[in-house]
Amino acid sequence: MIYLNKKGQAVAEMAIFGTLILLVFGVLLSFMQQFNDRQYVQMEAFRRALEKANSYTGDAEDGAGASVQYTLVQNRHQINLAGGYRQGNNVTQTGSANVYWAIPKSEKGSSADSLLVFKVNEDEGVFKYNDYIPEPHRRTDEDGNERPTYWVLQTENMNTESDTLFNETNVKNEDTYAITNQKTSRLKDDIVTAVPYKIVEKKSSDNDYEGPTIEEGILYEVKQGVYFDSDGQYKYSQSNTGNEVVRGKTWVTPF
Amino acid sequence: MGYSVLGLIKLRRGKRAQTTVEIAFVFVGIVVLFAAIMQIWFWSNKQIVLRQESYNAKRVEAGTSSDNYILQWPPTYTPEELTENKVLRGE
Repeated sequence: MIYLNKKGQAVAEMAIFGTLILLVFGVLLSFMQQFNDRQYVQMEAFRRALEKANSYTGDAEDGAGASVQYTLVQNRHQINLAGGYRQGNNVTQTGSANVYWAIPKSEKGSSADSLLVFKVNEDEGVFKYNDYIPEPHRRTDEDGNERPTYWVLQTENMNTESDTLFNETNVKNEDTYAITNQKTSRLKDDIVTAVPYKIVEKKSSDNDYEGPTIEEGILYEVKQGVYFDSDGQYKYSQSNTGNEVVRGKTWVTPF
Repeated sequence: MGYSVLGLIKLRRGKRAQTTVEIAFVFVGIVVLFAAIMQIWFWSNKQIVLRQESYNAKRVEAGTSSDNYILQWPPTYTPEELTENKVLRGE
């Protein structure tokens, strides 16, 4: 009787310890994915900002160039330790870069446009700063003199709303020759990403001063759905809104 | 199946030997599993460095202004294969 109890204790100890090891492994995997994704997003944001600044021509004919504030948002599918079969977890990674690169424009003495660019997964929104700030309220007048009060456009923290549906089915068929198991997962994940903004008044004599809000609203909003691309990765795009990803596997155990 | 360490002392000689053998097997398994997890972790960290190197190698092209500028993305980099030998033997 004593031996039986001791054996039970040992089994329980191993079950707990084994679960802990698997949990630690899962957490490590999750960190690996996060570090890799973060590096990719930061790298990509800078290269895309360079490209946008170098290639943007705008309305003027003085060659290419712009001052670009580029924000890249990517929803990556990561492992979900508590989730179902291939359920995963949607994690938002963000990278940003500022590039002022206007060699042709500067050579001709022309001023470059200031752009705010938001690339959310595969969809991009480009906004010209001066479209939101009318000329009489810009920081400098036409002669380049600083105005005592001026307006600035500020973007706020991004809002992300996700609508996820996931279900998992297991089908088991037994006959005289084999047992056939079929496991299927269905994932539907729509994400709405919105970038709010507000225009506030500033004073050139006091950097800390923030006047009344002149205007506020949503600068960029996009709804995107998940899909499974040819490289075997989950991605999101506007054209896949409402899409359902169905994945599964079947295995046969013959007698 | 293993016994708790305090329990070992009170057990009969035969049972103690069996437990010792079982613990030895389990201990080897745990060490191998831990080493494999660490190898996967090292592999993952190495990919970050290699990817950064290939990214930096294109910085001159990325930073040279031209009329037909080409976006230098994604980096020309293929992740190293994570093989069984690499995970279990560290090769």
